[in-house]
Parts: sequence; structure tokens; C-alpha cells
Amino acid sequence: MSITRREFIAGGTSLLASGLTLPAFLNRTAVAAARAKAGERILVVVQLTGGNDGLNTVIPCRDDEYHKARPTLAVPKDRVLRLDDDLGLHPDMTGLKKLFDAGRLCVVNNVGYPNPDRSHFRSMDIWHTAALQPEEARDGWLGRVVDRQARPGGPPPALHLDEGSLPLALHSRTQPVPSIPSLEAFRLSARAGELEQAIAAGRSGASDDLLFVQRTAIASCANARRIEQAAADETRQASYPPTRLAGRLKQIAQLIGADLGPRIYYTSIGGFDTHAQQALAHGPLLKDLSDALAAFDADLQARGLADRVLLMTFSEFGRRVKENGSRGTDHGAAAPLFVAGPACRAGIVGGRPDLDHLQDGDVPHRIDFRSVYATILTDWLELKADEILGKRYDQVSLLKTRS
Amino acid sequence: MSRWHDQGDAVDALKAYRPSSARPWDRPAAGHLLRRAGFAPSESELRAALADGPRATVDRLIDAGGDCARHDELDALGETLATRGDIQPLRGWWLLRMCHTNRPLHARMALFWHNHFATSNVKVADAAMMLRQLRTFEQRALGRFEELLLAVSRDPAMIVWLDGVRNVKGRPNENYARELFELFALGVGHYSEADIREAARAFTGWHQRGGEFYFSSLDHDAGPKTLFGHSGPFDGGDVVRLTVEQPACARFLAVKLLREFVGPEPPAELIEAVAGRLRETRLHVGETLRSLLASEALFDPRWYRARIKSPVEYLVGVVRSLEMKAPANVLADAASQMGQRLFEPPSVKGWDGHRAWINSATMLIRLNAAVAAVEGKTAADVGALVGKYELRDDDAVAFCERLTLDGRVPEALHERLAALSGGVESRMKQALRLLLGSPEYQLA
Repeated sequence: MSITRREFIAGGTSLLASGLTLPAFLNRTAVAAARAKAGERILVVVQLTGGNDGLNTVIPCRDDEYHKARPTLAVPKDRVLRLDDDLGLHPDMTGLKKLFDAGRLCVVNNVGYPNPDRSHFRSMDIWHTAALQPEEARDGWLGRVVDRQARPGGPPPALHLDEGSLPLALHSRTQPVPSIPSLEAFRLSARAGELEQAIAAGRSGASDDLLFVQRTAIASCANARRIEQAAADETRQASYPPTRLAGRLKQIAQLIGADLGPRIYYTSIGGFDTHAQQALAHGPLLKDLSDALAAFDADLQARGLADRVLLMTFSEFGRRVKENGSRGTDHGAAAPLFVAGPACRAGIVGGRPDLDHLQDGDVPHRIDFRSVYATILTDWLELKADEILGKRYDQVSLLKTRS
Repeated sequence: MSRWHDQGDAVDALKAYRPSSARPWDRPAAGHLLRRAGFAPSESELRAALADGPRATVDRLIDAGGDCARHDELDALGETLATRGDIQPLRGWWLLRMCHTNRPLHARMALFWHNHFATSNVKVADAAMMLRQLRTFEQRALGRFEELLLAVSRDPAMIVWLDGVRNVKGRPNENYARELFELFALGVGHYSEADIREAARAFTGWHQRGGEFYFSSLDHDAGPKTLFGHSGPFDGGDVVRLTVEQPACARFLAVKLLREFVGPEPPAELIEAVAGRLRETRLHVGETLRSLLASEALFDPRWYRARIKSPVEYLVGVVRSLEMKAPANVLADAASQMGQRLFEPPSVKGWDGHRAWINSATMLIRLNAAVAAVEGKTAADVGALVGKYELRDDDAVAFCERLTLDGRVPEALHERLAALSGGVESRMKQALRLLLGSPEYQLA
């Protein structure tokens, strides 16, 4: 038993995480191919797992109903970071407030879908598949983008940079979407220069399949090199807070800087299921989110990449308007999401939550989340949204109109 | 010996392989057979195959009975791991069993059926059901296709996956019936929409309850149906029987087996020959493979390194041939990062395979795995290989070349390896890193 058990439980990630330095070798073809794609736009998705309390994120601070429903959890009017007459950000979100003031943040409020499901699992699946009957869908909305962009041997069209398994949103029917916990997995280890040279050496009588693998392997090594350089450059550019989300966004910025190729990056931050003692947990979470997004934006600007990148957040649902008996909130419905980047139309769309007309004690939705997807697919990724979403949805004016 | 039947005209393309000076039974031939019928072999496995000859090797692969103690010890952990509800431990557990089994063809066929009857835990969301399905694939891996198809039709995970649970009298759900014909047994063009509707009615009431097959007679439509020109009060068992009797079934299965064991684009005469053998054996997969794996056709040079290894083939092959002890979770994560997340195939069609395995990200993960196989915490013990096989100092690098690439190493790489310096273990590690990361090694 002992050997088996040891093999079974031995931890470590050494099979993959052997990243050190990568000696010089540049494949010009691969780099040229990547450069040609440099004009392409990138979408970064940040999932807020657990159901973020939208009412304490984008706060209807002048609404008496809000203060009445939340005797212990309501944020006092004078502490809210005001966005307009009615709404303000949670006081811990100074980073996003700066982004808002700089015209780089769009608050999309009251986003949801009809007949909201209050199961974490099912509602998340609904958001991931863009289908109200997620059981029928075998792929995710971003996976369908992958299916339309993939070509064998090319760069991965999407990348999941996170702990845990690949989110349903990224499930594709044709292409494996890489899922890595950190970009260590994408670095080649020391003395890889020998490996590159051995791979690149000429072959006589090679089959098409062998040449295909060889070409791809050469491109992989070039990618690893660029990641290495991007990581080295980063040290003098960016300052991120020491949180997990910030660390992942920093790595995503490095990968974008290295022209790795994906048009979609996906990561998450958990802990939003605040059923009890919410005030202790929620503020710090919002601060993590807000500071990480602000640092990411500053980093991309410093790298001259900001114009290529749009970031969106979402959570599977918001929370009940009325706080519960444990100074927390239970599963709710519509909530705000954020779209950030120079391309977004700064301001608030979707208006303030209508607390006078609740549905089953929840905020009713005013914007279908699939309209947000449709807008991003059409205007940002320049894809046919109705093919990907299976239906036509109204657009939301959350992006600047392009000339 | 009657198993080695005399080949008639219909199966001439499956003429038995007889080693000759033109097609000797040498390392490349034995390595080719073992990679196709399992995973990249260890030196011991390869030496045994060379000594036994092709027929005895194929018989041993197919008739392998019990497994080794280490495999069985691991095997017993499955149900315990599944009770936790999380699928991740089962991924590593399955991979580790593939690494340790002495029935590699059976392991390979279980993986083949997982891809053929591609069921994903993303929807099933029940580790115990996924395990039970895998057990079904393993138990029936090399048996009669009809029995497997019937078992799959009654399999709880499949019933959840393709909506058998919603298939009730008066409101038939066609999901399973359609995929049964299109993806599992016949292929597009060999059934009508009416056949699907009638088959769906026959499967009504085939439900699962608590992870067990359950026949709900109240939900079953016992009325008369017409399927493939036959009429009767058919149930699911009749659908399976009538489906496998369709001439298209043998041909469909032949193509799938040939893509797995021979190459991505098998020629028509070989498809017909394998289909013919399947019909002769009443769709007996093991007996058909016995003919195919020992046929002259398998050893045609054009199939040598003609398939791109799946991530599981790549990883399990590295572990088996270097006789490593890799932790289960490391293997599972590596396979997932390379694009093969076991128990979660991307759709009911399974993984596309071949070139779809390779992109610039997944290839990088393979290269890093090649490095990690010889360096770091979980690396292979090359010193143990030196001792076990009594390697001479001046033959150790050549041993690595034989072990990984049957000694058929591209000239430039061979020169590089011959010029390596350092102690014997250091040279072996350097050589293995380059060999496992070579484009040639990605092919089987």
C-alpha cells in the first residue's frame, strides 16, 4: 500500500513548473506570424464566484428602501464613492472610482435574465452557456468563439489562467482550451536552448504530420521566449497588490505583452457567497477586485497595450435586497457588472435598481446579460453574435462608437 | 490455432504478418505494435515481445487475464475515491492504473470507448456514475460490440448525459437514439429520422434511479414500432439488436478501430477487410483486433509514426518506458493542460484527436513535461535503468535512443546525442530530455 499511497498523494507540480530562463533563439516565422495578429483585440473575463452583492457594490445610496432593507449592512450615504446623484461605489473601491473618473469604466447595472435561478451551479451554467436551459448546451459562449477561431498548430484562441477546472464558458467542441494555474507552466526550463535547437534541426523524409508538429514546437519555444522577456520587462513597469487576482491579471498582462495569441483570457476571484457577517468579507473582496483591476489597467497603459484590451466582470447572481438574520445576504437576482478599458463608454447604463418593485424580494433585471455578450461579441471581437448566442439580442451602449 | 484462420479473399488485406528480411521483427516493428496496442513500452516489455514474436505477443495482449498486484491495489481504491463526489481524484487514479497495468491493450481500449461513447461529467456531475461507466468499458473492452452497446444503453451516466431520464411515453426524447445511430453505431446516412423517432419510443422508460438502471414500465411505450423495416413492440434491447445487424455497423466500427490502431486515414480495402472480420466474428472486438494487430497491413511502413499521440498516450508512455513513479495528480493536471481532461470530453463526439491535440500552448506543456521527466522531484531514476539493464557506459545514450525512438533518430539529433559529455546518468538525462521533446516522439 505504501508505495501506491505515496505515489497517489505526493504533491507538487514539478512535472510542469520547471520554469527558469530560456536562452536565445528566435524563430522569425513564428514571431512574424504573431506580430501580424498584434492588432487583434483581447477580452479578459473576471468571474466573481459565489454571487456578488450588487447592492453593496454599486450602491443606491439615496434610496430609503436600501437603507431600510439593510439595517446593519447598508453603507452610509456619506461614505459611498459617488458616481452620480443616485449611485456610488463601495468605499473600498477607490481603484475603480479612479478608473471611472478617468473615463475607463462602464458600470452596467441591473443585469440578469428572466425567471432567475438561485442555485449557484445552475445560474453559473446559465451565464456560461448563455442559455436559460443550460442542460441543453454542451459548450460555453466563449467556447463557441474558440470554435470559430481555432486552427491546429496555431496559438490557443483562449486561455484559462486560474486554479480549478476549465469553466463551462470555455468549453469548446473542437479545441482544447489550455487551463493553467500560473504562467510557470508556459516557461521552458533551463537548458531548453538545446531542446529548441534539436527540435529545429532539419529532418530528411519527414511526413507532413511530423513537419506540422515540428513547426508548432518551434512556435511554442518562441512563445516561451517572449513570455520570458515580457516577465523580465514587467519588473520595472507594474506594481500590483499582493493578491491572487492581481497576480493572475499581472500574468495575463505579461502574456498579452508577449503576444501569446489568445483573444480571450479568463480568471476568477471567489468568496462572494456572503450569507453571514458580510461586512467583514465583502469590503476586502471588493478592494481586491478594484485594486487588481486598477493595477491591470495601469500596467496595460504602461505597456502601450490598453487600447487592445477590454475587461468584463460578472457574477452568477446578485443578492437578496433584504439582509438576513446573520448580517449577511442570501441568493438574489440582477446585479451590476463592470466593463473596463479605454474602449468602454464611461458611465452607468441600466440605471438605478428599482427597489420599489422587487420580484420575490430581488432586484428585477433591466438588461439581459446576453445583450452584454452580444455587444462585446459584435463590437469588440467583431464576430456574429447571433450565431454564437443562437439568437439576436439588443445591444447595450457600453462601448464607444468607432469611427 | 484455429483462431489464426485461413484468410479468404474478403479479408486478404488482413493477411497475417510473417517476419521476413524485408519486414523483420525488429525493434521498430515490436515498438510499433506495442505503441498501437497500448502505450510506449518499457525495455522489458519490448524485449519480451522481440523474444516471443508477433503472434504470441498479440495473443498475450488480447488474452491477458489478471493484472499485477500494484494495479489491483490501486484498482480497489476507485469506489472510495468516487464517494467523495469529486471527479479529479479519479482522473489521476485512472492514469496511474494505465501506468501500472500489465494489460495495456485493455487499458487502451477502455480509453477508446470513453472517447467513442463520450460522456462528460460536466453534465452527469456524479463521480460514482462516471466510475461505473468506466468499469463497464473496462469489463467489456474487448468483447462483443452488441453486449457493450446494450450495457451502454443501460448505463446510468449515459442515461443522464443523453437525457434518457426525460424519455417518457408520449414525450419521447430523441437525444440518445440519435447519437446511438449517428455517433455510436452507424454514422450519418444509414438511418432515417423515422428510425430515430421509433427508436426513441423503444427506449422510453429506460431510466436510472440512485445510480442504477431502472426500467419504468409506466413511462415505457409498449406499442408497435417500425425500425429498419422490421416491426414489433420493440424495447431498447431490440433497438440495439437491430442496430448491430445493420451492414453499416461493422463498417462504422472498422473505421473507428483503424483510426485508433493504424492511422487517421485508413484505405478503403483495409476498412472493408476489418468490417468483414467484424461481421465474421459477430462484432467481436477482441477477435477482430487479433487479426488486425498481427496483420501485414499494420506493419506497412506508411503507418509507422503516422498518428499523433494523445496527451494520455504521451504521458503514460513516458512513465511506462522510463519506469517512473509519477504522482497521480501531476499526471492528471498535465493531461488536462495538454487538452485531455478525462471524464470531460468536449462533446458527445469525443476528442477530435490527431492534429487537434497540438497547438503552441499544448506543445509547450509537452516540452516541459519532457524536461520534468528527467529533472526535479518526480523525475525518472535513470540510475535504476543502468543497473536493471546492465548498461555499459558507452551504450547508455544509445539505449535511450532505442527506448524512445526505436533507435531511428534523425541524423542531426543523433550527432548531438553522440557528442554529449559527462557521467553516464547525466548524459542519459540530457539525451532523454531531447528525445522525449523531439517532434518524432509526439508521433506513435
